[in-house]
Amino acid sequence: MDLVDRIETTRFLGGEFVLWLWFSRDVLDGVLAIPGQGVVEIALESSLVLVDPLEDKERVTIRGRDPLGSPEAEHALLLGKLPRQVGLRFTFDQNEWVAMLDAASFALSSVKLPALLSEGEEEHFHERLRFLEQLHDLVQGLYRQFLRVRLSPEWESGLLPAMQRWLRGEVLDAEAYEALHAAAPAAKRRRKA
Amino acid sequence: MNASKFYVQGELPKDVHRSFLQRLRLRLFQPLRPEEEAEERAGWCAVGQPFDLELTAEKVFSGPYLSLGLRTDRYRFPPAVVHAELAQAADGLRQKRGQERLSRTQTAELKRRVLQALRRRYLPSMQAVDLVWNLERQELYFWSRSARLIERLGELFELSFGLELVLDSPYTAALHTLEGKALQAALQQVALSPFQEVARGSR
Repeated sequence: MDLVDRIETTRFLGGEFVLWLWFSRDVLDGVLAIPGQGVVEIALESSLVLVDPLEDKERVTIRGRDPLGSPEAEHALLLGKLPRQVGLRFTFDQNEWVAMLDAASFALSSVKLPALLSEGEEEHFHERLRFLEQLHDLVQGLYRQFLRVRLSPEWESGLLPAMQRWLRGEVLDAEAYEALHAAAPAAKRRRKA
Repeated sequence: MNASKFYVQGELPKDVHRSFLQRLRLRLFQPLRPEEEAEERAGWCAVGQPFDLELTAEKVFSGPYLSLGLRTDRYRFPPAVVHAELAQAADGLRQKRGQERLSRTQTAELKRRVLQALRRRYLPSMQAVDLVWNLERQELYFWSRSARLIERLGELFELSFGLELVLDSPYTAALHTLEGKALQAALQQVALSPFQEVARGSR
């Protein structure tokens, strides 16, 4: 299978990642530690689109203050839909980012960066890019954490059943969550060129 | 702000600034001229300055970043105007030649002349989209999500730098973030998880 085919046939990983973020936010009260990066507070808000991963035309769009807590979102999950787009708010290192994440393409839109404090055109430019890269790094860091478990044997035996129980309304405590994630291979940050 | 993220594939040349500046100047944006047949053209311009076509190291490089604008000019005529102009020109030619119908060659030539006349009367539409390439991280941000513009960027980028752009996606992000053969191998086998089978009707 070539690269293009593999890209197309694995887009569901983005939806599963957002579902895992949703699960993690619920269990950890929105505060996640990203190894090598730090602690980030995550809010999933403002807008949610759920799509059947096998039937792309079947979609549910929910807007409002807490779209993830709505009965429509719950119903869509019960019908087998996965998140396709979600509003994100990250608080990290005393800064705040807002964006819409498209799970199938990993594109970030409607991005609001933290306020720029630097003076001078060039400094402004660098600060703006640093914030944009930081936002992508946060998403990448969380995705790495998800993949570490998703691609390990512990997924089938531990985390997937836990998420299935969560979907049925069962509450998981933070300690059990950490144990499920600790069982997977240690995360390594890929060195930047 | 809407931006598309790409991973840049391939080796950078040794003298990046000099080499890239030379290559960029080969594919600077060239304005369309009415006497040309071209209806659309794309090329590089200074970041945030679509009319600035003199790229210097100071304008292009800043710290680890290479910044550019991708400018595309295109003649776009309303179809009704083209149709009306063509009909009028065809009438004129038929009368002049005393022909009832024009041949295919005559119609094609007439269309070419009508379009050339329109190009003299109308200005092309202009679109410029900025990009920033972090040369250290080999990541590039392009301030558009249009599939047409992304395709054009990929083509011009490859011609200009001899490097390939790969658009971000769950798979490409995984390839760039995972270390270890086991995880990479698992990525090739991964399949959709059955959340719904268990969840359906039970939550």
